[in-house]
Amino acid sequence: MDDAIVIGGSAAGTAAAIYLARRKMKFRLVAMEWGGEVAVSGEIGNYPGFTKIDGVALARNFLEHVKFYGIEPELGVRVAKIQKLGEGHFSVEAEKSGKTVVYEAKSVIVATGSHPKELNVPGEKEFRGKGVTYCTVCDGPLFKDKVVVTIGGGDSGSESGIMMNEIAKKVYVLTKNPDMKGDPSLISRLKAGRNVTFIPNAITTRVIGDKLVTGVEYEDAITKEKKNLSVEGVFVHIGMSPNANFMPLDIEKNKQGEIVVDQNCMTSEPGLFAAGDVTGVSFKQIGIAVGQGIIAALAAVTYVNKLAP
Amino acid sequence: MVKIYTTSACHYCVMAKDFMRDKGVDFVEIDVMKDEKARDELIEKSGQLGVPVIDVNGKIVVGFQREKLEELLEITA
Repeated sequence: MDDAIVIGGSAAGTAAAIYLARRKMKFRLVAMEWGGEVAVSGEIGNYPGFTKIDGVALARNFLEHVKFYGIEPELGVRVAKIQKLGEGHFSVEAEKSGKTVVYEAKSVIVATGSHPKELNVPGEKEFRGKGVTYCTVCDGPLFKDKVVVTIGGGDSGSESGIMMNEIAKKVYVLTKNPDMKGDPSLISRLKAGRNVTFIPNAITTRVIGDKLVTGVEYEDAITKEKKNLSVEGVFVHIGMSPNANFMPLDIEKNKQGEIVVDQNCMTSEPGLFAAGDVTGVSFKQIGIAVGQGIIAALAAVTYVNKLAP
Repeated sequence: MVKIYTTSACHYCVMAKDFMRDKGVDFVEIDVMKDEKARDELIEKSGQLGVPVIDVNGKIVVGFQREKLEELLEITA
């Protein structure tokens, strides 16, 4: 049986894998695809050691680093269930190429990150991919010289607005709050954008369209008035939800569904570790995910070494 | 003939291109940001506005769908 299985192919998974490899642990690394949210981050300026790096390039560096240690990530693996069969014995059931596969390992490190939250308004699902997108970096260029809206009042919203200011004819930036939140330097850059129109206290109520998106409706949170914007692109950046629905049901999670971990990145189940954006760590950053991946790996090594022979 | 409709910073587009190169499949890349007609073609072929869109001899795959591409290209995993 493997000493460990690492689930997740981005910052936390990479860090965990490198440390497990250097400790000569027998393990596998599985993921749906490589890169996660890092790869769609666009320009990254806060990862130590790189004054500026593109997310795709950083994800590529991560892959090269794991391959340097002879680890070949298994991709196209969608984990469905994790079960603890005994101390130092876990089973991980997954789907790969349409078949069910079961991996067994003495410990598990979950580094599956998160996915974008949906607005849950009429028209959103219908127009997903038809003007509604959750990745400005990926799809922004498709809206060159068009009028678009970014919905979201945090750093991702600011970054989306900043990017679309350069590409779109006009970008509205909507937030339900009185002002944008997060990194002040991003907020300044956003508001200085000549093609940016900032609309605070705006609660999106509907996405409208025909074959493709033609607009959004929102409610002014103060006056309760309903207003319409004619747009062809809707970039939704309202936060992230953890990819943790395959965890054992009795594992401790917080109100947001994120996995609760201790200072050794251990979950409420001994031998089951979690690292990165899937956990309840207060700040979701690449550097933090890397740090937690390392902690999880070293703690997993300690756990495995203490198991009865 | 394989055509991949892409934009410059799209990670899944990079994955689709890497996949094709790995499997030794020749492809033509069409950057829809540079070409308005290509954007219209993308919408017409796929009925949606997202990249990558991969045209495998007329069969359209929206997004990087590894299994579907393996099937269409008759590649065993």
